[in-house]
Amino acid sequence: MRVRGLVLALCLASAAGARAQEPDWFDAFRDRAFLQGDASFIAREKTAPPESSPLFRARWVVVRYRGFSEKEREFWPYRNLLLVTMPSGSRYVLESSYGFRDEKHLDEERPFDRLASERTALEIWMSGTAGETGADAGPCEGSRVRVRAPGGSLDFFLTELSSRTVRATLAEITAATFDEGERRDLVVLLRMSIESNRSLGGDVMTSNVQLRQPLLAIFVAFRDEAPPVEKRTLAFAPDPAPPGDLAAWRGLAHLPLDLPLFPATVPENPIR
Amino acid sequence: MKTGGPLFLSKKIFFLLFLFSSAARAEEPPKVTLERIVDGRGNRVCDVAKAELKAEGVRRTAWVVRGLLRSDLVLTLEAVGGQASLHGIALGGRPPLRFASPSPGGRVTAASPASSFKYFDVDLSRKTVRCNLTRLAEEADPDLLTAVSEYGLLKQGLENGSSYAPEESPVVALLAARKQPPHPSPPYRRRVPWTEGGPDADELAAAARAAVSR
Repeated sequence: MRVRGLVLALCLASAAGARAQEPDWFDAFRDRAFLQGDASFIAREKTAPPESSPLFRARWVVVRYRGFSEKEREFWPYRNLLLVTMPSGSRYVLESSYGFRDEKHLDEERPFDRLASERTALEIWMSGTAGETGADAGPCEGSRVRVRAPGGSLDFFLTELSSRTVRATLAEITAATFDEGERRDLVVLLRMSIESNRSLGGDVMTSNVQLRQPLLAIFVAFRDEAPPVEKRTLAFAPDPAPPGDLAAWRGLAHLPLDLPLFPATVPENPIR
Repeated sequence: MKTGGPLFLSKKIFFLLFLFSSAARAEEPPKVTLERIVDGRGNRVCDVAKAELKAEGVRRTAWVVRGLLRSDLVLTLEAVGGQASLHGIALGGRPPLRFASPSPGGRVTAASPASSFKYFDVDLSRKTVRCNLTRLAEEADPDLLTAVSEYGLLKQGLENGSSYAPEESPVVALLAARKQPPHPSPPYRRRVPWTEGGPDADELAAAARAAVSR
């Protein structure tokens, strides 16, 4: 009996250890959060009349985190979120984010893209730097990504997204992660045209925070089902309906309880 | 795809190979051939024992390379007809790195005792495949990649060294993963028959028989 208990304890400790090794996406987004962007859209066929029903609704939200001092404000982490509601009521969060980054440890994984349904999530983490590609570079050096999802994981280089090996494995991971209804919904988003783009504007960093970026998670995860560019015929139009309270998205999108508007300047805390 | 659990190779391939290899084991003892590889002066570099078992459409072979490294390099292959194959590469009795393929040109599953990764041979030169294969090799045995480099150098020095037998395909995959340039002047090596026998030969032949029957 004592031996059985010991074995059970070892198994539990081992399982807990394995879980502890997996990084937590939201650890990269800490400190005070501000709402920097909030706009609502409806998605329709480009040729559809304005009164036609939307294929889905999307709310574009940018959350900025005070990761560094006011002087380094343009490098503050951000989460670029597309909160999608399908006509059925199913909801999805697409995310393209830039987390807290330790410049001395660039090889450590950092959040890149995330795709969440109300049931599950697929995360894409980035590691390495694009500069590590000299003649003596090893096969794992350079900027690479890791997909993590309940349906499996894969380390690969984004430049090889079109390869047969990467596409086949991603298709298996998404099939094992998202159920049939979720996959049917998410594949609709692949038809978004990304030729017209919007950005937050402002400083260097926020000019790079663009509406189309959260859609990249879909194009990576469902690469095998992405239609050719000429068949990406959906476009966003401003949503005339009132946006509603963001609190409804707090759980699914992991939004902080208190989310004041991004101020023009944030006073430094003298105690810090 | 990487998995955290035990080996995650294609169940169908393993089931087929299991059925056929059980039948193979029940047949006659394996046939073993021995060869010695020497340098330009005729000094021994290493010895190779090749054991083979054939039965009911399945062919099992094991090569044991002794003397090249501190541990034996063991290459195994189970092939069902001209289709499914399961390759293994290991040092001594240490954990092997396995490669399972449902058919020539099909999707290969490489597996260490810790995780696995599936790829198409056509992508072998891509960094994604190279990175994942080197990771798996290190998971299986930290000395495996060095052993493969030594074996690759030995092959370069042999006449017809650029042609690799099916048993050597794990070496070919791992050499591609490392992408080492060929040695500009590889040391000369040649194969000589090893027929005089003796305890060393008996011991090596026994190791090959054990590897093919495993």
